[in-house]
Amino acid sequence: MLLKLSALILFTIALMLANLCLGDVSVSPLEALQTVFSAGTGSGSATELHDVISSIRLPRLLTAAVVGLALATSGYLLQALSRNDLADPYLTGVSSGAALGVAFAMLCKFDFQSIPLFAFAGGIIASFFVAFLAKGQAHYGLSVAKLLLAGIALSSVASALITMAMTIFGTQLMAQGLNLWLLGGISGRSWAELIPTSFYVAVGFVAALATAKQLSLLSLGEETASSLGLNVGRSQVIILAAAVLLASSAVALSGMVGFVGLVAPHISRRLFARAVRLQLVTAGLTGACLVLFSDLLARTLNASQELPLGTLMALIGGPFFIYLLSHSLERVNQ
Amino acid sequence: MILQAQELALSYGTKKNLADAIVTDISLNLEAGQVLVIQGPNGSGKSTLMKGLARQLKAARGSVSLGGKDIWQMNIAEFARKIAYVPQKLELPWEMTVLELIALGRNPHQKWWSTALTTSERALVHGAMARCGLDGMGQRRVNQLSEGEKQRATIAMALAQEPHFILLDEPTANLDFRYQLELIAIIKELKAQNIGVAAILHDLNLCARIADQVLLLGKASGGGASSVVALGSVQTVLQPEQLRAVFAVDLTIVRDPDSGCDIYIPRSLSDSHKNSSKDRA
Repeated sequence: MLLKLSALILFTIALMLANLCLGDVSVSPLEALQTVFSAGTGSGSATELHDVISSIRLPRLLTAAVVGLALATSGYLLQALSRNDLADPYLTGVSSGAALGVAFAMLCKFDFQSIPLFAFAGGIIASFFVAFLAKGQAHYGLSVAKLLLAGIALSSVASALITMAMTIFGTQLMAQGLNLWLLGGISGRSWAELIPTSFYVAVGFVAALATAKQLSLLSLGEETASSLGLNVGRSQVIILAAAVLLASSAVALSGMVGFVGLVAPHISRRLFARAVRLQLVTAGLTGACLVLFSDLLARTLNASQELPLGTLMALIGGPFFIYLLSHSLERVNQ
Repeated sequence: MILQAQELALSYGTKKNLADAIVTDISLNLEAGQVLVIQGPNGSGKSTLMKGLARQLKAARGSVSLGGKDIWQMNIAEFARKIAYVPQKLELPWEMTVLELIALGRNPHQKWWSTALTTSERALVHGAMARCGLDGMGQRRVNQLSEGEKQRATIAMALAQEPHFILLDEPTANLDFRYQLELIAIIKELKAQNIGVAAILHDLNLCARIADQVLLLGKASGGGASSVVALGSVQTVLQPEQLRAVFAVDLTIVRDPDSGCDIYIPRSLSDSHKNSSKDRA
């Protein structure tokens, strides 16, 4: 297991280095690292390279890693909480709430820089609303079935509201901006956006690691978990809050990057450890690798125009996931 | 310590409406070291009663107390240190091993974040596995177990909990003859260790072998909620007339000369049941 984990960590570092080195201007890993740790003074081309590496590529690759880690961990938490392999981070209404928040910000002509904040707030408010609707019997906390259904219902209402508002009050430019945001992407992310969001992701990730035992107990069903002394309602709320914080942070940074939150937990469970805490770490790293790799291809495959990140994610992750499923069917069926 | 139900009525849903009660007016005492077997036909609310005793379902009326303290006033971990509950069917995640599953039985004794077992806890978990015939299966994934092995694993998890009382909902449902007898032996051992056991058993013969008390649940002729038809020793409760009235089945009781236990042989559907079937037709 230690070997597999080390290999995954090394692979993540290698992908980060590749993201740092490759692009319109390609440099060697050594040169890239020297540039990162240099002060950025010297000749014109050296300063330009320093700007490209330290101010554009480094925050972008860290954004990719943070978004991947956040979405994958959030997906893992929600799949474990709902005991549903199809659950993804957008299940709890984070996506629809965030989209509503962004639409609101655009319609009210707020500054473009404030859009992540509206996405974050929208996602959190929508999730709390869904959690409120999913309140089950008093001592069992949330009803998982209600959570799934309420999330789906809220998504439909939110998308209808967005379409209505955009049709009545919006301009074509606003609609285009919203669509672009919905497609997801991390181009142009700066340190100013990355640093505060990373803090929220770190809080969410630590909370997720702290709830590992609660996740194991809940995997036996609420009835058994409570008979083993678990306060089911409280644990569900903490896990859900961590998942929502992680997903909302990712959405605020990157818009709607789909797929990674669904497949990364599965890939991690099939390739790596059983213990929940290690699974959380490997799921997070797998998510980071997926987004890093997709973003690398998005930047480098087509020189004239950057490809959409979400589309590439589905193109890469989908076949790999199908391969994994077809090679581990006997384990799933058992 | 006594597990006590007083005029307990249980219903599902959040409104706790007495009109929707599944069971009503249940009063019972289960002392440490005693075995109570709950009997009754399908749909008579046996599992519902078990959920009420296991703090899974709040009372619509009445109360359940443990050592004189209302179970809903107890901290949930404190309750789980005293009462273990093995439901009829357990959801088992495929990636979990038998050892990991049984070790979760230690949860009520551990800090909320801790999963590490102490040396004595490890010995306890392995002892519970061995007692339930799961020796050498610790590293097997739970989805590779047969239904009977899964059932034994969940019973081992309850044993690892080191409770004062164990509540078993149809623990023999998936067990073959041999393991049914093993389970009876385990229950007798628990009794000898002064642990109280409440179990739902359909097999009257197994019931007669271990029960100190039998609670017979049934519905009144008009339907509605089930309540206690009889509560007492095997000899007083498992009477052919009483069983006929509740199950609508004629039984013959013969004495086993070797064990001295009564053997219950269902013969046929009783006349009243045949008549009611004809009426329906």
